Amino acid sequence: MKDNIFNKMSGLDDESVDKITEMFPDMNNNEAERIFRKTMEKISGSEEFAAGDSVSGIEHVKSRNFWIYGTMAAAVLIAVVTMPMMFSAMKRSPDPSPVTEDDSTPPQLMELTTETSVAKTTAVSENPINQEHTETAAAQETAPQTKKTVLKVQIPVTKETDKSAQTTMAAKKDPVKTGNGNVTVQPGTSTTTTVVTSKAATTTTAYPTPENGIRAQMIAEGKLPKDQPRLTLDQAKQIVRSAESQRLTGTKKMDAIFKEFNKIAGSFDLYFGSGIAYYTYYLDDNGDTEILMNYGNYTVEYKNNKDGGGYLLTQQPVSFMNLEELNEAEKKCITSQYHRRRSILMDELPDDQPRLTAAQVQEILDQMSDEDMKSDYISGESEFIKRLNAIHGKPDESFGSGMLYCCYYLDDYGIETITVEYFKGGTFYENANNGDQQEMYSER
Amino acid sequence: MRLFYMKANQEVMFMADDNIESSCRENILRYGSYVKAIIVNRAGSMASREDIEDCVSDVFAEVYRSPQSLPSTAEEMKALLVTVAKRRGIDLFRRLRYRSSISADSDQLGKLPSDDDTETEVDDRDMKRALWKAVEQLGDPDSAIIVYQYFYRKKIREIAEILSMSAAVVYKRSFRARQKIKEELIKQGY
Repeated sequence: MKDNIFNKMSGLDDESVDKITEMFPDMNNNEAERIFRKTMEKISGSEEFAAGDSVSGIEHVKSRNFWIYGTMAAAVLIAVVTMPMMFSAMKRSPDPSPVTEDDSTPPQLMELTTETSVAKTTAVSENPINQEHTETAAAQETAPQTKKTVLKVQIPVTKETDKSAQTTMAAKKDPVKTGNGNVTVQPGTSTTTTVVTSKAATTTTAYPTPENGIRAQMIAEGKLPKDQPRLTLDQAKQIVRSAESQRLTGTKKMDAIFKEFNKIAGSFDLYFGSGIAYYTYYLDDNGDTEILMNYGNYTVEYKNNKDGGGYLLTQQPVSFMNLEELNEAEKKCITSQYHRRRSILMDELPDDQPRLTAAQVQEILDQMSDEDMKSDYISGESEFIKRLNAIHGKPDESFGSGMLYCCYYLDDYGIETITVEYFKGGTFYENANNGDQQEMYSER
Repeated sequence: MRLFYMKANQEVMFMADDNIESSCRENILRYGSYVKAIIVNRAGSMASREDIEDCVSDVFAEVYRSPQSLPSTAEEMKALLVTVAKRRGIDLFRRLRYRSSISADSDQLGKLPSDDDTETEVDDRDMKRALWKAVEQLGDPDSAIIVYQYFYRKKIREIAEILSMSAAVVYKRSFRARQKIKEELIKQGY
């Protein structure tokens, strides 16, 4: 960021590095554990074959069994024939609920063996509460694995009151999504009808639901308690508000939210994305509502999958707010004022008002005397702040009570910022993504 | 089951596949900070904390990918880790430079040195040596503060936590220490 002598504290000779490691080792147990987990992921992801390894020899391939093709063709044929029949039966069915459950019949336990794709679960630690969000190349490169799980599903056996009832499908919506569709099957001439709830059916699909997500697997494997509560919308709102009131932005904000969510829910339900990571926390067991964390644009969103509604829990960046949103944001955070955006919206500053760069700030700083850094107690501005404003227009934000600060965003999202203490003139550079925080001072 | 031997601190350890994990964990605890320091030193200020952690895990993954060819003594293990760490650190530096779209012309690593460059490089090296000496002379805890702040790029808050001090004290000591170092270097003609 700036060319001062302390930036030369890298590229030291081996002897100095040895001494630094000996005198000031920097690796705590948490960090070592994180590195260990990443290492094991990389090792298991690559098996024994690293890039550049050569393989020689002949692989004998078994001849394929043609009966498999025959079975597959038969399955497709059955599906093609039965689907129109099912649809016509649905249309003809006058009453969607001809079946009543007989509580006196004890439920039968049935084992369903499901194969669920868990491509990304390899990147998840055993205890995601303490896990920090890290997008590793290894996690993305990890080949999808197939996990076999045996689920015991209670299937109540009921007696049909209406003997003439035909096959019906109560759920008009996709049963996989709604999770409440009842399918009635009439086996042969028997009067007994088996009712299979679609909750069992959902487990046989690869569609991501709360029941086959990562959190559910962790509960099934005993890594999380069975009564682990789910995140609630209110809790999510409170956590997001708390992170934002601490003035966290970018990855830092998302990591803080992620940790707090995991403290409550134990783990996220789904993890997906390539390049940009998304985490889903279902708010209910049916997957009707969810909280979606998007690490790409640093947002947390509430989504209602039933009606397609939803809204952002995170504040959108100030640089993109309209006047109404700006007023709301200032109301929420009473010590902050967003001067630059307000001036742009009020046409006091042009839309394309340039932003400061760190190099420009350093250059201005180098030209300042101690007196220039002190603020005038009436206007609140110092010569230094005036010079910054000459380029930037106005500070993006001012905040604080007692000690006042003004903050200049070096980008639209406020990831890189320069913060100036109004009266003392201390100048700080901060990068919210990599945690870099340095005081800037004049080289004069 | 594949079996192999590994000597650690002159003790012979009998290792099976199952022990790779524990051996890896142990070596991360033992040499992790050393590997990290090498990478930080090579990659400089451009690397984020995540980049550094990722690179450290790359080093251990590279070493443990072929457990049958693991070194047999602790010294050999350290030497192997140092070699891999240096290489990985340079790779990371190049990758980050490329990412930050600095032109290849300004990349000192890929450039043939001219006489002027050699002179500058020698000056730079001397300066770094003098700087490190000045930091060492500060004594505890000031030298620790400067190393954590400018070598490991830690925040004042984190340093305060490590050294069990308040952030304000760390901030003040860092300021005074920097003044001292500057004066020392000016005395030496830098």
